[in-house]
Amino acid sequence: MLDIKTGEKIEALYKMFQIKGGKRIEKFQTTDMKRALNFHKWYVNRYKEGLLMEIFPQKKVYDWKEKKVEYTFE
Amino acid sequence: MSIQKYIALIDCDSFFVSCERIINPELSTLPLSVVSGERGCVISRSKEAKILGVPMGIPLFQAVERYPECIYLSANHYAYTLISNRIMNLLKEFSPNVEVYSIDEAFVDFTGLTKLYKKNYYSLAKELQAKILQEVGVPVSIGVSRSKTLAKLASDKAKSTRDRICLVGKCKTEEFLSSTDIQEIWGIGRKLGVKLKGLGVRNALDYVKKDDIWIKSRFGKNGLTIKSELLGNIVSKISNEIELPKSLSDSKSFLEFTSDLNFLKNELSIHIHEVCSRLRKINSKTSTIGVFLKTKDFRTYYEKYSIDVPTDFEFEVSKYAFQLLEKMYSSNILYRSVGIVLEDFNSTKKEQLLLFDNDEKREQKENLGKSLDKLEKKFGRNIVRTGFVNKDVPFRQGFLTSPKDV
Repeated sequence: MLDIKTGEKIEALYKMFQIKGGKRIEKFQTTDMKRALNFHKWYVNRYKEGLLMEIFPQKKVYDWKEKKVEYTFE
Repeated sequence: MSIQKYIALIDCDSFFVSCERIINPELSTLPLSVVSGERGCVISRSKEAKILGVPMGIPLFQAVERYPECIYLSANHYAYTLISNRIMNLLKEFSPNVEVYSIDEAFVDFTGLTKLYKKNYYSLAKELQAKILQEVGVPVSIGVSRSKTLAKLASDKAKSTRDRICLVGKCKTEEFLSSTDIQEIWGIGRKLGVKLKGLGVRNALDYVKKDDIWIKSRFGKNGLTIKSELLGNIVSKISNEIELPKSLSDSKSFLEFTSDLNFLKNELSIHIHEVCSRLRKINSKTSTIGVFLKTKDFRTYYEKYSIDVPTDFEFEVSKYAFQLLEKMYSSNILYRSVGIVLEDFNSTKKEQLLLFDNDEKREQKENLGKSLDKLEKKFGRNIVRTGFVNKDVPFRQGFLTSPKDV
């Protein structure tokens, strides 16, 4: 995915959820959008049911104690 | 003789979907729908999704069963606001008089711009459309006419044209009105439309031809305003002044139904913090605090409380909000959402100080509020949790729309 402010490419986690009985069941997660889309195609052909996609961009977290930069998807 | 005014309505096409496609260009040719939340409905559809037949407002659980080929994406309103601001700034550079009507719509005063840019109205609209597409990446439809109501109708018609621009001048107005169904008019809803059709008014031209006394006796002053606007006389002017909102609210459904009071309080604190920071942005303070609770079976409880000293500070608001929540709360009911409503705003510039108030404390609170906003601006939303009851109780909301997410 692209950063809105800079237009640069940033890493993101793509999660696919099945919606059943008012609950979300995580079916697949990847950092590659193409893989996520391929999974969606396969899942729809196999189960005839759509999926909800959520995108979690990578976040830079600075650990003040360790003085280290860590990257997370949450 | 006064100059004939010309107003343009700029309407972004499938705005939320267009924004998602800017952020994720891989989605550009796929059928795509944006969903309001986990338990939400479809709020925006791409052209491809419209061809599949996905209706607007369909609940997600039904949509995934009926139209599985479509990709359903969770909405990221923070990103949409950023993109909308960029479009509005472009419009403000183009014309001095711009009224932001909603997140994806704005009225632009075109009067006099033909002389400034040395172009006709159609070319102006074309240039603006190309500029927005090139600089932001969002396709827009533009309707240009002599009043807001006509511009709104023209922009609706523009969506079905090839170049997505519709210009309704003085000569074309009658022909345009005769082809416009009465229910399409801005301000005439389904019920009023049916009533008008029953009275023999089928299109906009029939409405305009009716006598003023006939309209006023049946539909009041608003009916006359619509008629005047349809005839090309501007009644509601474009105002680029930002008015204070009448109320501010924030709420979101839980992922799972709950009756845990601590969880409710934590979720309410997130909403309180959100509205308070919005309140500080518009330099206002609230004097009425309301809390609502929605149960699993969609019953809504609402309680409000008026405070003597207006505030924009989280801890002050949460003190009263938690009391209201506890008053409505019952441990044997499952809840689906909790929310906060703030009303009665006073501008901080015109604030009346109290005779026996502690100025030092008040300043400390104000500074703390400002510091919270600064921290959020620098490190992202929810970096500081205000008024949290219990850290062990999970909280999952707010992360999706953090500035760091965009």
